[in-house]
Amino acid sequence: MQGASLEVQNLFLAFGKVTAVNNVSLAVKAGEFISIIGPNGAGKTSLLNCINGFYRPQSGKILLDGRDVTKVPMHIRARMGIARTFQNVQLYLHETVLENVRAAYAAFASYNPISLLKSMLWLGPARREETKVFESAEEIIDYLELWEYRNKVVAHLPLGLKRRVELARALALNPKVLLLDEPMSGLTFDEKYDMVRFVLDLNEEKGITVLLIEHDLKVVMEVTPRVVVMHQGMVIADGPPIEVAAAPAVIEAYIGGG
Amino acid sequence: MSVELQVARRKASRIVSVVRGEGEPPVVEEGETVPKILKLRAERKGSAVAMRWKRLGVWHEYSWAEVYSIVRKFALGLKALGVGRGTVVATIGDNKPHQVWTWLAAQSLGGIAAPIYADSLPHEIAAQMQIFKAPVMMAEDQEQVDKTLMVADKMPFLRYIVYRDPKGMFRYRDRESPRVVSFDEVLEMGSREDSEAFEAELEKGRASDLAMLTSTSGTTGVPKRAALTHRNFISQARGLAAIDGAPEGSDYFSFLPMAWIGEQMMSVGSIVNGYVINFPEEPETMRRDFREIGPQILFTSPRWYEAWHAEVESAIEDTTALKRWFYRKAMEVAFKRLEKPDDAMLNFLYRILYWAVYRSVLDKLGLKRVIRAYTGGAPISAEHFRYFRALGLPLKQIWGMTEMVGIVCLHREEDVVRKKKYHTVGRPIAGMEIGITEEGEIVCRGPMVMVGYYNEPIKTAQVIDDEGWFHTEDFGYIDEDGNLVYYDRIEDVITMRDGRRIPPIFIETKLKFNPYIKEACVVGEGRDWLAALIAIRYETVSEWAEKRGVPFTGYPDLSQRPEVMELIREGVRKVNEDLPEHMRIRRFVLLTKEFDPDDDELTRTRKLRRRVINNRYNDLIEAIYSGNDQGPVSYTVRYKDGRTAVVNMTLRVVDV
Repeated sequence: MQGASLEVQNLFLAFGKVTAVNNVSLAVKAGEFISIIGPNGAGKTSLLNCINGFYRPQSGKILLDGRDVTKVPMHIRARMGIARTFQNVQLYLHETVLENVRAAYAAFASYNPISLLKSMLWLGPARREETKVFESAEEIIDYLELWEYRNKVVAHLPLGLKRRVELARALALNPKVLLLDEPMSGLTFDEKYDMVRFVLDLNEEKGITVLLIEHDLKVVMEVTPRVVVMHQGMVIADGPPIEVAAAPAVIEAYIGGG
Repeated sequence: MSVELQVARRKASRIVSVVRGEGEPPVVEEGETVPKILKLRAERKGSAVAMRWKRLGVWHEYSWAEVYSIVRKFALGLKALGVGRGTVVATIGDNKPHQVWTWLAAQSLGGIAAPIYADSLPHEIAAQMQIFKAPVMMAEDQEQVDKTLMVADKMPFLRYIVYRDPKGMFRYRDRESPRVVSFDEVLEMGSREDSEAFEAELEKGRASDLAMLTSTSGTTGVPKRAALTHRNFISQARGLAAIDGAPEGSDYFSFLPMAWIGEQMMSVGSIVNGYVINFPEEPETMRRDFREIGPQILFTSPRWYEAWHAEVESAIEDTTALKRWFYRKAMEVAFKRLEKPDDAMLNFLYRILYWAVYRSVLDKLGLKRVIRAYTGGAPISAEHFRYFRALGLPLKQIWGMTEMVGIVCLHREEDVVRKKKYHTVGRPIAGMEIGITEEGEIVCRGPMVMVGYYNEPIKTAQVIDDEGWFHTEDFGYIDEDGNLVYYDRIEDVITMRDGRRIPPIFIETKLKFNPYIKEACVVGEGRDWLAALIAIRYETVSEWAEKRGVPFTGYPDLSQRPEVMELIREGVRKVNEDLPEHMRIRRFVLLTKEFDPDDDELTRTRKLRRRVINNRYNDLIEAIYSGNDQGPVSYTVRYKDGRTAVVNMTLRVVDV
């Protein structure tokens, strides 16, 4: 089991006068799978951005496996095992699927002057590392069933496959926590079904902790054991899907609040 | 053995003509089995390559010694699971070496392999398993395991499911009855077993032991299982090699359904004859992997030749005018040379054009290295046959049946080149006799004929008579040179109102020579003229439409565009020009989907089930003949996940 626990304590993030995340506390156990839902502008994406270090919150703490990572820069957090995908797909569009996945490895390979020298001289360790990158990339391609697209340029792929390639890149970090920002929006029924299957497998088989932002309530209610509802930067409900769906605050936020 | 007969066999019919395979029948010792041949190869040429499989983007090679060692370990594992003499082991999955390893492992112990079509639906799997009640099943992946578990309550005899691909399989770890275990776990179990037990079991094997239960094609009803022995398979492989063998180490590429006799014949034959079996990474990467290997031995159904031809034609449409002109001229030369194979000038031109044109066309399709090419399983049009012959592919027609391990007779090179016997399916393999009964039915006798249908003594007695002739239900005649000519299955012939009988396949294969037509079903039973239900070939038609700026959203929409109807109408007119008046297609309809085995419209080997099609499209056919401009279709579609939906549509009827 490779998942890590994640704890968010009294997190507060504001842009000028606009409060994005308002005193949010959330504890996610290692290997847990939670969905975060809420109306647009509820602060879901901002919360993920704080967790992976893209935003620096004004106050509050973020603990990964009990370790305070609030001050740790984004790329180190990624190396520590926090990986994410984006609402708008972020890939090297003019490279192939395989190059995209390999590049994700390269970005996080350990670089220091000595390893650089080794790779320039094409010494054994550098060669071994390269072989390892190739093999690991192929394993992910196999896991996400991307075989036939290996050598296809990403720009020409349909959205569902681009999302899958993005997931592949996130997996290259060998993550302990996976932050997924609306991985299913705009996908067809079959593409959604595939994506859910992959995420469930990663969670159940590899034990990766998953935080999923999702608008498709059917997916959320059927798949995740725990749902967190955000509204205006705050967590207004947190629990099993059936309870959350019946909570008055949630009904208010979705229907009353428009 | 459960195929022994308690019932009287049918009386032999009077046979009016017979042709025998020339040469000595292949010798198969009583002590020989397929896994014993594998062992011999492992001992004699252990380090030579036996199989290749693309895995994680890289081709992995398995030597004869490695294959033998895997088979041996896996067999010992199966033994621990209770597999022994006469035990049936079912297999279901894509073209992977594990399928063949499982067959060989079961056979080493005196067990029998029973492959099931990978695209079978759950209720079909249950129906097949009822025939042979296998206690162990080897399933490729989670999808296959899921389908099997959905009907597990109907199969109390099933105790173990062995899977190859571990993805998602952690969910079944603690399941009891049937237990679900991985291929690697079974190998592991095998390496803990007493390994001498393997050699002892292998030694007991006899050529007359059952090796495989192969599904018959089943154009009508639930498919039966032909019980085939080691002798059947080895005779087939050696008989074919004696006529048309390839050097040891030649590359064969496994891409046809593993449950089809054609694939079993070729892969078991590869072990007997020492060819290399190459397996694709996944079904999705098959075309690319095929081209990377460039197989030397090729056996497939006309569907593939039709698809290859359509691919070339569509690429030629797309290329520059100069290249197109060059290609057409080159093909003219190639066709002329077919007519005059001894014309020195044509041969000279042909050799030059081979390097300039034909070779690159073949290369694009992955057919450049082919030295043996066969087509069978369904009739191929003369147009397609001549096209590939002209290109330089040494294509031969074969005729055979599941009940006789596939190929029974095949073209001889001279008969094709000199005597132009394109319309025949050649002469029998040594040891086989082909006869024609008074009624015109083709009957066969010899070492390749099955023991019988597994657990079906009555059906067996109906097809194998008291003189050992197997009755094929195919009709035909033997020509003056001993070549077999066969007609359509009797149930497939259309009888028109004036009593004229027409083989629809003859017209359908001609229609399919058009690169834009994928499927055609000619109708006209009891009518005055013929009509056709046509399914367009999406890849080529969509490209054609895109180039001309014809907008469409998907297959159904594309098929109903007036421009597409015009395109197909042109194609049908062209075919009509070659046909006598009463065989011409007067009206047709473009269907909004292809025929699909999941809808029972095709068999798993992609043969038309005419009765189903005639019933399903009955209203539409009525509309065609009552002169309406459109007709209704309504049918239930079954999706892969079991959901169903009713589709109601009105299709345009096109006058040719």
